[in-house]
Amino acid sequence: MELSLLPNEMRTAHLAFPGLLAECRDLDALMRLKGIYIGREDSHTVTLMQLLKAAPKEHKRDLGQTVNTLKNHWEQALKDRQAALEQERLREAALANAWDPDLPPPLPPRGALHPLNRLMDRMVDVFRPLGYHVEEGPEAETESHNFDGLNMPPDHPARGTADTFYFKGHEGLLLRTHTSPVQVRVLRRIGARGADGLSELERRGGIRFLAPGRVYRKDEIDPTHSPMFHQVEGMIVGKGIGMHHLKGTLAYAMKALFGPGADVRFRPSYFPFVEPGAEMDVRCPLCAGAGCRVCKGSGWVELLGAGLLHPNILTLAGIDPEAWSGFAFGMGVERTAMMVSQTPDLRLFFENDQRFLRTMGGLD
Amino acid sequence: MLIEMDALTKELPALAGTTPGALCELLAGLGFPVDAVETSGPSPVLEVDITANRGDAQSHRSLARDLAAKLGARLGPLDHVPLEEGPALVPIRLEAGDAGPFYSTAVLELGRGTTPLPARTFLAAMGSTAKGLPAVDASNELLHRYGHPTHAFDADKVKGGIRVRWAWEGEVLVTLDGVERKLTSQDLLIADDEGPIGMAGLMGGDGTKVTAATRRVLLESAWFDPRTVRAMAQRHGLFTDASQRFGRGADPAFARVARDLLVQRLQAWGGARLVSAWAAGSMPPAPAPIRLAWTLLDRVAGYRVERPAAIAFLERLGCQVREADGGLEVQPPTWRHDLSLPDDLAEEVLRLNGYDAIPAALPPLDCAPVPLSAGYLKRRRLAARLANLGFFQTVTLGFGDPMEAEQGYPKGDHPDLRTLKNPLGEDYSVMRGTLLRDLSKVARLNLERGAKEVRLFEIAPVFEAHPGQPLQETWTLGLVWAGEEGGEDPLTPPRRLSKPEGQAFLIGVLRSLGVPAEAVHEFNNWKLPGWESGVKEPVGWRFEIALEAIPDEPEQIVPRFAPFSRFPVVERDLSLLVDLGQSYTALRQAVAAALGGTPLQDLRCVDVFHKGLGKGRQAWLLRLRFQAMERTLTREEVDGWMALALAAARTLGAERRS
Repeated sequence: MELSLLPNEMRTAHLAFPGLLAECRDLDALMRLKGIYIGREDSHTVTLMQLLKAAPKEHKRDLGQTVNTLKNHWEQALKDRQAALEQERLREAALANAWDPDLPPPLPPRGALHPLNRLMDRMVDVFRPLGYHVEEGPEAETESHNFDGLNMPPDHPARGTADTFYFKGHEGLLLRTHTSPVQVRVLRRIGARGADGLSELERRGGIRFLAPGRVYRKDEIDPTHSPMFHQVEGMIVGKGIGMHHLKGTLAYAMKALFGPGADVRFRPSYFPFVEPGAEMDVRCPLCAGAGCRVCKGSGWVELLGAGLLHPNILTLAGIDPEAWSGFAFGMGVERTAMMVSQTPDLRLFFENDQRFLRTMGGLD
Repeated sequence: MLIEMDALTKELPALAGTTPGALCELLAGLGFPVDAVETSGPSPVLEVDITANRGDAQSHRSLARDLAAKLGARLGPLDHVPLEEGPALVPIRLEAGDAGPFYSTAVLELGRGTTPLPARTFLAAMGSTAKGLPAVDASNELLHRYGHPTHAFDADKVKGGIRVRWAWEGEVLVTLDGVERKLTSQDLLIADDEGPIGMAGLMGGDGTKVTAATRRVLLESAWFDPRTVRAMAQRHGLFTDASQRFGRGADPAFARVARDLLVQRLQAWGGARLVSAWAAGSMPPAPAPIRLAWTLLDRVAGYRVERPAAIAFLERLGCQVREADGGLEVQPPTWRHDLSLPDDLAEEVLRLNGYDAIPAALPPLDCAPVPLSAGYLKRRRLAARLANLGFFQTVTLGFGDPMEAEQGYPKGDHPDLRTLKNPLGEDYSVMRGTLLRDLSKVARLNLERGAKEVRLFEIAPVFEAHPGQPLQETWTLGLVWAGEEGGEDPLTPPRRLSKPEGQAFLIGVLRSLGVPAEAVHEFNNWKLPGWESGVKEPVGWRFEIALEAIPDEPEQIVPRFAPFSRFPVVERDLSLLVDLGQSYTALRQAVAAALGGTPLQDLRCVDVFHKGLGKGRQAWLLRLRFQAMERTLTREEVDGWMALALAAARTLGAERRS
């Protein structure tokens, strides 16, 4: 290439080209540069072509070669640069449109069921396959359902105003102190004879149900007491029901609730509405039985009270205890929830801090 | 009840060498769980939980008796030498019939001795301090060891004879604890010729108490009716070691033995001299024997109980057992007031044989299954749905303060009729008539603790009371939304909902639960009440609704098929200028009515705005969707329907907005 044949301004244009090309950071700038060097009008290429046309014959061949080389060089360099810039633009566009999966996405709102309700629901689900349904009763109860029907003598201390809340203006109306009045209601209902001389119990051939719900006792609020708490009560009436059925049912339920490894023990106890009475303990989850503050050194935590239905309970409801028998059990929901979760303070369940509910509750 | 291991081993020598842990297991297996073990003293002390039916088990010897029956071991000797009774120094008159049928006594002249060290140590382990007065300390020691309460009077302060009688209304006695007790005709007394000297089965009187100056004592070892004693203890709030034992049923046959043992102790410890011992009355009659059929025992147990073992267990418990046709005839011992039914005896056999021996089985599924009730299912579905919509379920106690108005939810009922007679305090005295007050408090607590957004709901019964009607409980859903939305991710900018937006949001929640629009009109109190000063007022809304107003799930799991069109839908907008206050429903109904017979699929307002429209006017953008079942619609016919729609809107004063 013979640069000496070119006029000064063309030589300068050629020498400036690499620098100008490098300065083009986007396609607009590149298009402007393209216009200046290889545009159809008023570009350096046009100037070169005019020079070539006007050149004397003897120079035409050399100049022609030089002009061609320059033109091809510019065209190729501009084309390469354009391709590179386009590539870059696509890459940026792609990046701008992409979502970094590590960025926080907008989450669908997520609430939770209250842990106490969830535990009660779970109990129902555990007992459902055994044929239990749900029975419920009012929270404002009569003494007849809450105490009399449960074989609790008229002078039983739990009936006192130190233990039980009574309503003003409704004689004998109280806030139920346990879910057991639901038992009494159901027993009286299924024990009553219809027009056909048969009772609901006889028509059904037995009954089994759970009664979950809110109950009230006159306890001051502290880390382990509350004037309102929850119980889940279960009952079965049938033919030939014995302690082996109670033990089998509770062992199944406790393993379903607390896992197949749950270590439980079944021991004698006393409640006025059952005979024989029993309690079920679970091996202390905190110390695994070694003895600690939660189990008061005994290695066991009381889980529920139970027993065969006292014959008096059946008789009071008009059911013949010679023909029918059954069992009942009752579990404290808060107590169980606290033990399983190792929640240190009962009040947390009723304070309803969303942070507590978020960690302790679930969606199903 | 406290049990010292050495003292227990004295009653049951077979326990020698047993560790506290093993003893705890043994006791729990018999129905006496141990709450705590104290090992700091010379002998471990167990805090044993005695169930309410086992009044007889409240002593070392009686617990040893149960353990002996379980282990088949022999009890240690009682060292009881029956006293020869002598002349009655003063008369005993039993004037209260069955409430106090037996009273034994003795008079002794005291010597100089004092309570010996072993007895003091034992009393200390029982949590009481020896007084150094043998008559008092021996009585106390006997109670813990054998379970029968006794009492010693200063004989020189007792005027005349002993009477067991009902108190006269208004009679007064200062008891040993220095408290003046006003007595009623239901209180059973020990009295002398001048007046009361003790409350039967509870506590002696201060005026006749034994002091260091006492020279002669008059002992009391009697039996009182459990019901009478329980009622007295409750009436006077006086729960003593004695009332715990008499109140749950002491052993009548042991009354005389306890007196003898007390006399023996006073003679041995203090060198006292017996002047005379005598008694009056008779034991309450023994209850009738109980028939226990083998079939009942086996049914209760769930396995065939070995007959000789069952008989042996009952005999070891002190029962007299006779084999009778198909079972046993059992006379329970005088101390077991809790045994009255065959089921009670079955429990005893199972208890001694151990509940571990009971096999585990599931009862056969032999009764008709019952579906879960619609109400229960509705609550569960509702709760799950709201939790999935981002709301947190709360559980609140449900007690309210009468001073706090239940703002905006006037039920028109009588809160005084849902008020408790004996509340925990004034602020816990009314059973709630709304969930919103508790929910608002929870919302506030969360906001104060820094929560940006609060979404809460509760499903619980609320109370409603009207004179002459039973108290009503209504399952209710309460819901609160407060705070600021968004701001937690790059795509959702934070924003506070305006009042109409917040209200609309909650209406949306209600509508999504299936609540019809008409029902929503009844809500008028959406806004959370303002907080007290000092807290930035949050933006928030709330509502509550009786669950019965929320439709049930359709009964059919797969509902009837509703056909839909496969032809294109034509969507047209109609922009209208209407007056502020124009009823949307009225306008919507007018337009829909005008388009009756056309394939109108949907008609809804999709935009509302007010800016630049002049006073009193607003603009509604209605979107109409037409779709025919059997063909594609033409532009011309849709134009015609839109003209009908506009004409209908005009009749209500609306104009087309250009």
